[in-house]
Amino acid sequence: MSVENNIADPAIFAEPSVTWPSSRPGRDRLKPPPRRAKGAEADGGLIARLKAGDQEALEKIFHLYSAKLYNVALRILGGDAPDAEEVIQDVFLTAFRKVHMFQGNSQFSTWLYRLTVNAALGRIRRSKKSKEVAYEEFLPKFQADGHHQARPVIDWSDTLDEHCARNQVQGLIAKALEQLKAVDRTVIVLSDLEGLSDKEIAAATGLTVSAVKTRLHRARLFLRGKLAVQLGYSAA
Amino acid sequence: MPKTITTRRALSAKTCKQIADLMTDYLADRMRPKVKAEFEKHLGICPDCVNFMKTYKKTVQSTATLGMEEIPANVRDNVLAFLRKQLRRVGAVVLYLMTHLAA
Repeated sequence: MSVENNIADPAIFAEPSVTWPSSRPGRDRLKPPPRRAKGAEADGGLIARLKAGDQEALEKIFHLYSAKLYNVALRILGGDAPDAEEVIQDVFLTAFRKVHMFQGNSQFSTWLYRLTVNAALGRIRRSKKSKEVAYEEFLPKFQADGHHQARPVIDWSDTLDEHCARNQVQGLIAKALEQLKAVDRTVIVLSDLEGLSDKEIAAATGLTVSAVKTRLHRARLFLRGKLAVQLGYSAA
Repeated sequence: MPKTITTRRALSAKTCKQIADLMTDYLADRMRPKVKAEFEKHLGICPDCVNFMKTYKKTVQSTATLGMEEIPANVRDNVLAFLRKQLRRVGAVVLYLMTHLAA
């Protein structure tokens, strides 16, 4: 399933055929802790009520997930709040109408992430308001023998905190995020902000796990290069 | 770069480019032991890759600090009002039957 598909495509409502483990052994030790609050997952009873057309159940589900999905949409949309609001409207209306396609083989939140990602990417595709830049300038360069082209590689990790206040760093990252390709930004948001596993991201985006890994790494390299250049160092 | 370092690098099974490409897997601690040993062997002789890893790791950590914002109250109210209006207009039961019959 391509992430380029529109939310109107019925196939995207289908549930990913993945059962997520309740614990996450071997999780990325770098990743922030999962941001899903305990008890934030809708229980089977609530989903059953939603399937029965219960509006009150929809409102309960809205209160459970709206903040998380709004943030994901907002980040994918590069901070466009009006668009994020419309995406959330579409997502919950679609969830109400298509919940019969959710069979319980994955977490309900994964299905909602999938609706959100597709709605947000569809909106970006239609709006053509992209701020994407070419990555090449900000990626590391290597010689033909595989060694770093620019030496020495400087460790600016401490410099970042010394020279920039926390909100300045966040501003730099937020601006660099906007310059990523929309799909790559989605992968970064779901991985490094939301703490989803590669498998979960694959299910939410329709990418393969391998493609998720590749896009995640490339996007991180781009963000690293942007930060280095901002600090006056080589992206190499 | 001193010649000795280059020579020692040549003995390492991985190049700097390969090390960079493996960075995500290493930091996620999901490498096979043999690959991890080669990776760490390279780090032991290549200060450039050590610095590269530190800045890569710092980038991921900095991205994670963006965090979540509260959904603005007016946005939450707007969306709830929208949903109620949509469901009322069509009629929840009718909408439900229509979507299930159409499925």
